[in-house]
Amino acid sequence: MKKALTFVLIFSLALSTFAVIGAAAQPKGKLTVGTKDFTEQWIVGWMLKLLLEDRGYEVSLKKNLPSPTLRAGLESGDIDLMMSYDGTAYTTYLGRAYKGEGRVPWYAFPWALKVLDKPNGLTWITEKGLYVNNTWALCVKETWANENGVHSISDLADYINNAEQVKWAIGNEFYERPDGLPALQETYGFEIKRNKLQLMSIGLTMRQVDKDNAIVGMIYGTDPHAKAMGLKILKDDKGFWPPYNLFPVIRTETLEEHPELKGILIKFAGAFPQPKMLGGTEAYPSAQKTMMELNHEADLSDPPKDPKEVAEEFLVEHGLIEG
Amino acid sequence: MEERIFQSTWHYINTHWPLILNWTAQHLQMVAIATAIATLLGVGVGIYIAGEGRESLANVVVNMAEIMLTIPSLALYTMMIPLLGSIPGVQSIGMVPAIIALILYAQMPIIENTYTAIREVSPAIIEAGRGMGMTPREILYRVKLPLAFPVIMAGVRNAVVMSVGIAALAVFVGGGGFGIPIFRGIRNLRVDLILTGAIFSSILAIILDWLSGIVERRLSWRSRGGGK
Amino acid sequence: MTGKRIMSFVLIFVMVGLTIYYTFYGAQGWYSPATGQEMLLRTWEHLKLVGIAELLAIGVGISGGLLITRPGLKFLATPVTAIANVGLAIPPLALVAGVSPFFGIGPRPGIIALFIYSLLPVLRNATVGIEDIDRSVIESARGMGMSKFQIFRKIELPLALPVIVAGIRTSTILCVGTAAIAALINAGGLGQIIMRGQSVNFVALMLQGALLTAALAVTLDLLLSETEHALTPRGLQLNKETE
Repeated sequence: MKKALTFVLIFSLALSTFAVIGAAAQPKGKLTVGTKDFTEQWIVGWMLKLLLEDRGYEVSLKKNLPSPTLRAGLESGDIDLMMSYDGTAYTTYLGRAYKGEGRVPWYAFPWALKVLDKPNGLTWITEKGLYVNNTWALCVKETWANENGVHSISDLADYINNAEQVKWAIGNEFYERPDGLPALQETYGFEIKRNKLQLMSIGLTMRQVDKDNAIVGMIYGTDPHAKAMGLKILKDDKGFWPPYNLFPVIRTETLEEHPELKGILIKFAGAFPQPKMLGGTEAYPSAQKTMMELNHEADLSDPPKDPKEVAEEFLVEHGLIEG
Repeated sequence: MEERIFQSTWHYINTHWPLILNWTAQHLQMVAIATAIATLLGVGVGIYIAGEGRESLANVVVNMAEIMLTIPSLALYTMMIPLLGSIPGVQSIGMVPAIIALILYAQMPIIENTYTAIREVSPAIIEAGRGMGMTPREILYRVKLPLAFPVIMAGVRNAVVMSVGIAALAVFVGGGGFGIPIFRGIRNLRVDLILTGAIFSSILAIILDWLSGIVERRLSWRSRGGGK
Repeated sequence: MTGKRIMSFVLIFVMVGLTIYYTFYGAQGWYSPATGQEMLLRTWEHLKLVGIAELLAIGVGISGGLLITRPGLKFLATPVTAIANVGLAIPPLALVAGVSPFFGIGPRPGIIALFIYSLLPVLRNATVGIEDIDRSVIESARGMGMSKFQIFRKIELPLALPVIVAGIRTSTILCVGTAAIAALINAGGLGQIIMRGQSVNFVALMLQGALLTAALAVTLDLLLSETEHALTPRGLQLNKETE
């Protein structure tokens, strides 16, 4: 009997040793950075972590959160800092209708959000930003687009209304969100039959288009796969989508506690190309291309690099941390 | 095509041992904490409901446990998240909700097995213990529990294996573990990540199953020897 | 037995009731829950996934179990049972995700993953069930002049049936749960509702999918455990209770 007890003891000791090892591998820091669940967010998340750790903070990174969970965490204090897309915050977190057609100029979003989010205890750092415009987008095969003369979403709506229903592959989030499919159909005036609609995890949508299992796929603006697979992104000619640029959003409390964070974050955002002049016709600088290249390195280069490596290289290259 | 899949996976594994170890540690951490607490809870509840005069309570609890076990883990996980989120003070993201959901699930087979094992101890042996002048407490600790150990351990083993599988879903609430490479792989069309996650979580599950199988066998052998 | 039956009924009633409640009153801000029509469609998809995979698994599993318990192939029984047990330790998520690089995405690869997973308990139980039959029973049947086929049909199959049905029950429950995860690779079903809810953290939608999946599992479990009970020969039932 004693020996049996010894065994139980050893077993539970072994279990708790694992627990301790695990605990040591995940540092609990002063700052918690949260990210969404795709490569771009991982890269910017790692950038923040590496940068702030270099500046003497203890940073823990919470990756892979669904967008609203992340935002809720930021509001409740589980998370101190995140990189937020202005368009997502405007339409989804704050639930404001964006009627499209460029009614609100792209550069106004971050400043509007700075005001709108103040009562929520959040501070948008808007002096500099990552103007990557990681918008939702629809893609089709280059060849299909040319054959059928579909180059914009209006063309697609015409095609669906007048020629035939086509198969769609879209992500779950896109189907549900206020800036997603239902509102898009309303704006462009077309309707997809349910049996033509396939819902899946976002990354698989491009694959479905690539393998001809769907004609239209949902994709992100900075996703490097579109180029690699020869997919054409349809022009959002009615300006349905707001801009989706990235800005650091921090809890006001945290910022008051560590005021120097503001300078660090501005310097970080400034490492990306900034717009030359506000309200100019070439709205976006080359930051989208920069981000697409970073994503490409993490997912498509051979062999692919880790988001952490990509982040580190970028920070070193721009002199934000020592190599 | 397929050759390429294996090549890239092999390359990823070879160049990412620290990361894989980190995922293993996170996964093990969740499983370890959850099964440790679930074992304490499960055995406690099992012993309590196996007591005299608690048959109707036991009936309810054991049946409940049995039904709970049929509820798919993804569904249970999904139901847990809003519930946990509504409790003030409980973190709704990260390891904590993942572990709480795991504990709830993992204690079910342990409760069931503890209860069954204790009830199945032959009345003759208990009589003999009573005849030797043992108090009910002594009978529980010296007779019933040692005899029930193998079955309880089988429940623990079951719980460990289940937890490994369910912990892979922890990524939904921002937990760590092998769910991370699997989801990131699907999300970003990275076959190497998907397969790395799938392969290593399976290996982890098989190894833990095997280890707890060994513990189970050693224990049942010991306690049979000790019981004589 | 009846206790569990009543509790299952109550639970199913509550879960389906809540699902219906969320279907009609779950709207919240922009987000609206899945319509009743869609819920029925997804449930049907879910049942189709489980049904096809399970039927295939039952066919292959039972015939496989019968095959490897034949005298010539008996040496296979132990390794096959061991492999089935090890295979069941594999996380469902790993299996579903691991299938997709080779078979693509959609309902078909989903069914492949489900089939592999649900085959294991059926195969294991069929093998064990036939292996465990008392040799003396078969010997005496042989003594009575029964042919091999008669022994198989009249003795082995009926005696092993409860164990096999128990395997089918385990396998069906696993299958319902794994089918929910298979939504990740676009297999459809109730998992899709769950994932959609999760992607935007919309509780009503998540619960619609989760509650109905759970209700489905509990219902199937109830049906199959009744079947299992009914199929157990009277003598064995008594035996079990006196033990």
